[in-house]
Amino acid sequence: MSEITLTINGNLVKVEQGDTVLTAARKAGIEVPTLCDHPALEPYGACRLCIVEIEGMRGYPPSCTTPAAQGMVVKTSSPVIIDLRKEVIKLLLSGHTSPCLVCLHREPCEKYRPRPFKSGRATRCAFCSNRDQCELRKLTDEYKIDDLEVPIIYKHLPVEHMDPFMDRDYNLCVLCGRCARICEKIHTAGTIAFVERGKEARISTAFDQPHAKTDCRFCGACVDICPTGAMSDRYAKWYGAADRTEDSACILCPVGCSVRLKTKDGKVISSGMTAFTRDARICAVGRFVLPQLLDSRYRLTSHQIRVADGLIKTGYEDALDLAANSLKAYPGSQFAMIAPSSATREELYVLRKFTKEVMKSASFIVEPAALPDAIAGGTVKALYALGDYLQGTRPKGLDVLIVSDMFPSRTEKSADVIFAVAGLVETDGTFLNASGQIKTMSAQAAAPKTLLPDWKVVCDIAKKMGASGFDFRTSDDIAKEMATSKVKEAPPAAPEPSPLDKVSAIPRMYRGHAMSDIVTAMRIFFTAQEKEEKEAAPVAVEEGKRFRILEKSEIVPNTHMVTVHAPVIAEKCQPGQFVIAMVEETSERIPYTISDFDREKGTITMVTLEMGRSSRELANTTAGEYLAHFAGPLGRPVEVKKFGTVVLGGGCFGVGAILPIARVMKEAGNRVICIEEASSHYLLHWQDKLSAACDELVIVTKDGSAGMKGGIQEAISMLADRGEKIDQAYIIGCTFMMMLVCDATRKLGIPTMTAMNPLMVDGTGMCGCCRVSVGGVTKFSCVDGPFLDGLQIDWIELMQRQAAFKLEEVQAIPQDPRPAHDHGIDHVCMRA
Amino acid sequence: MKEAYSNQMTRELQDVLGSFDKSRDNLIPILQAVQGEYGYLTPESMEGIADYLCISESSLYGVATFYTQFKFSRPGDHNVRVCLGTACHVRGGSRIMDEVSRHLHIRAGETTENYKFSLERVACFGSCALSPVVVVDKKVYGRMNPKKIKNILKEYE
Repeated sequence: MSEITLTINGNLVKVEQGDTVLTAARKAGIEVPTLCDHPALEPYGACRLCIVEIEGMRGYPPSCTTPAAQGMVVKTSSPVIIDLRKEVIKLLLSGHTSPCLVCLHREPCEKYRPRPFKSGRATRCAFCSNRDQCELRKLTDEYKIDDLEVPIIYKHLPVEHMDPFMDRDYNLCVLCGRCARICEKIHTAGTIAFVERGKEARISTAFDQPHAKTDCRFCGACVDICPTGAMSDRYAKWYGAADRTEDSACILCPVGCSVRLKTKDGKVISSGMTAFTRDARICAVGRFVLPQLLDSRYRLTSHQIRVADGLIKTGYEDALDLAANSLKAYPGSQFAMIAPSSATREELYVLRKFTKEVMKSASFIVEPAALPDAIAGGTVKALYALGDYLQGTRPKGLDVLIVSDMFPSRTEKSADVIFAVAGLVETDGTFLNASGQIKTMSAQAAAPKTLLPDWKVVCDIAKKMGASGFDFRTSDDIAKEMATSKVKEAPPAAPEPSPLDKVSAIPRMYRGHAMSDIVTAMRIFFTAQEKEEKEAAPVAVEEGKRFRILEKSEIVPNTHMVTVHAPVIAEKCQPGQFVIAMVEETSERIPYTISDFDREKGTITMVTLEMGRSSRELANTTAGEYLAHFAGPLGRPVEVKKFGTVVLGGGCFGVGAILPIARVMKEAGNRVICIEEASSHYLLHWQDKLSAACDELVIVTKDGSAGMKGGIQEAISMLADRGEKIDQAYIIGCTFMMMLVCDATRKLGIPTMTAMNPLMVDGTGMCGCCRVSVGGVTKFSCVDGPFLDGLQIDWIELMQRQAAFKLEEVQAIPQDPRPAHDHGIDHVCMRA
Repeated sequence: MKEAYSNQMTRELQDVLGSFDKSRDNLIPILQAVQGEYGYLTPESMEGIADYLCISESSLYGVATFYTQFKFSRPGDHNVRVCLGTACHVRGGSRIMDEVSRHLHIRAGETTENYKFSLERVACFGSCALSPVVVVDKKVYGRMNPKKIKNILKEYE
């Protein structure tokens, strides 16, 4: 290849003929921003961020698709290019829900709310799981864009939660095409592509089918290559960025793929391909199931031994003693061991050595061999099973059953000793895969409660039994011994068809357990017959539930209105009070401010945001369903009297909550000014209802797309500036917003009451969970509030208390697919 | 996972596909020919075309949805096309569209429940002198007004 020389930003750069201008710039160490470009993909020229100026060439060509030529003179960051790039970013942002990027309060928001909210829909960066990794956001910051000028168009597409493992929100998609291109590159016939055209253009499958109904292999490449939060890993998304990345292997089937593990505090949050190539592709189990298996809530974490009354938890030493003592009496053909095929070479070596040398038995069985007659027939008196291999029935004549496992099972229930162990990527070692390659595993994942892998447990039993030759400290020690001994190893048979090509062929079993019992989202891959067998008859959910939902809609994205028939509460409730609702018997008790009530019809209306597990349950209900529990009215009603001029500020779920207060304040002869705050125009709602209930409605948006730009505090300052004498303010919304408003009203000397929304359990003053410090005195939000003096609240302490269970809240988010639900179509949106 | 719509392609589809070379260059002519045969593009026929050309169904669907000429639902016996181009728009084309829509109880792009009519909006027929224009099947009706178009539709019922 011939070499050519060109000039970029005044520097002479030598490149190969055929290189692009972008490649040339990068070779010269010159940064050119890109979005649709990716090292694993061919140049595409979709995003227009990499535009440059080239002398003698008309316009501003994208450097990624322009071949470098001899003598070319290129400028990558001239003022005109910088200006154009800013425009390109603004246009990208106009189709991406990002009001947070241009919000006046971004800095304190990110300081006090370091993690995004676990919302159902990302209506803005603060609600987006990808916030801290978003490439678009990095570009916006780099180019210091603080005003959009063009409105943000929310596309109002339904969020796709109906597939296993991944969520897709194409409202965030910037059409860079990386996902569709990587899908095509890896699988040749891709599952997703651009469909429609113009402003309707989007990424979809043929006939907009769910991925589970196409030939999608769920390799996760699209999720991993997406520069925004449009495609996300449902399990990993709310854990945030990983703190370590290391390569290991998935040994759940003989294919034994290399995987790149991302961990955070030792927990595997994702497992992905080691490269975006066809050869490195992995199946749904390697990509999505592996981390969820390790983190399963069903995971065995304690050793157990059988006593007269059944199984009890015990310490490791006790379990070892009992195992060693029991096994001593059954040497030779009386002993058998069944080991999983998903084990490392070193592990299998130690297990085999134990069986042969300590127990002097030849019965070492690696699944999936059928249960030998020796066990069923009664020759074997002592069995060591490393999984659920007995299918429930303890064979007659079996005197000792030792089980080591990661999950509970029927085999485990009839055991005499149970070892809870570490497995898969929690242990190191090597794996011989079907192609004869030896894959190295890293023990990067921390097992719960520092559980040990099977080989260590067996070595410890051997030592307790007085055997020598089991002093291995690491799996490297075992590997060294294996190198000197003549162990014959044959690669396992490759599965046919390959799970890499057919989702129906993905591994289903691990240690004798159906993985779908542990990671239930896998059930979507079942055949109709399997589904029938697996899925127990649905529980009659309506039984015992009394509170009928009369009306339910998503009034604006991620904001739901629920009207419940509860005549007793409706009869008694007063503006400012709240209710505690539980959708299911197993739900958390969540307080919801009453947004409206109708004594004649006996209804209570709430406006709520989908922010986590229990609010998602409420968001997923539909009219006609029932709530399990609905308690109220709770808390003190708002004090109604003639103050003079009253300002009511509401943001997010608080917009609905100020409505009944506005009505009673007006009736009491006050001049009532309502302020509705939203991040952007597409989140504004109930303006008509509020307008009808007050003297003046002020609209504020964080991106300035409707009303004045800013928050409630800016609106109050504006009112004060124009000479309005405000006698009392009531503010309802998130804690952060109320804190900012109080900073402003304190300076203006306006008495301000704020509606608390802390963590709450009983709502009647018993548990103390909802405590708030007000002027150094502890108040309970449930019985002293919800309205407390905002000017005296210790906001920082309150926010810390609210974040107390953030990890548990992430773990509680259900992982099963759920059907899509449209939001109310009565909303006037930009799409029309 | 994908459930095969039909293991064997229909004879007609095979005949249509067989008259083209297996080249991606023929993609649009094939889509047109298949639509000509069935009146619209079914998931089954799209699967057959994708297999024939060895391309993914999603990219085929992407191409087909790019062009407004391709339909994915069964058309009615009579195709009512209302012009909303500049001249027709100026002379009240949208009132004609509203009237047709109200009369047939469907919106543009849809087909009536009894498969009698389907409704389309068109940008221009090139007969602006006759605006506002409605074309039913292949017959052109010019200088329309809401009353006239209602009577014309009744003739086709």
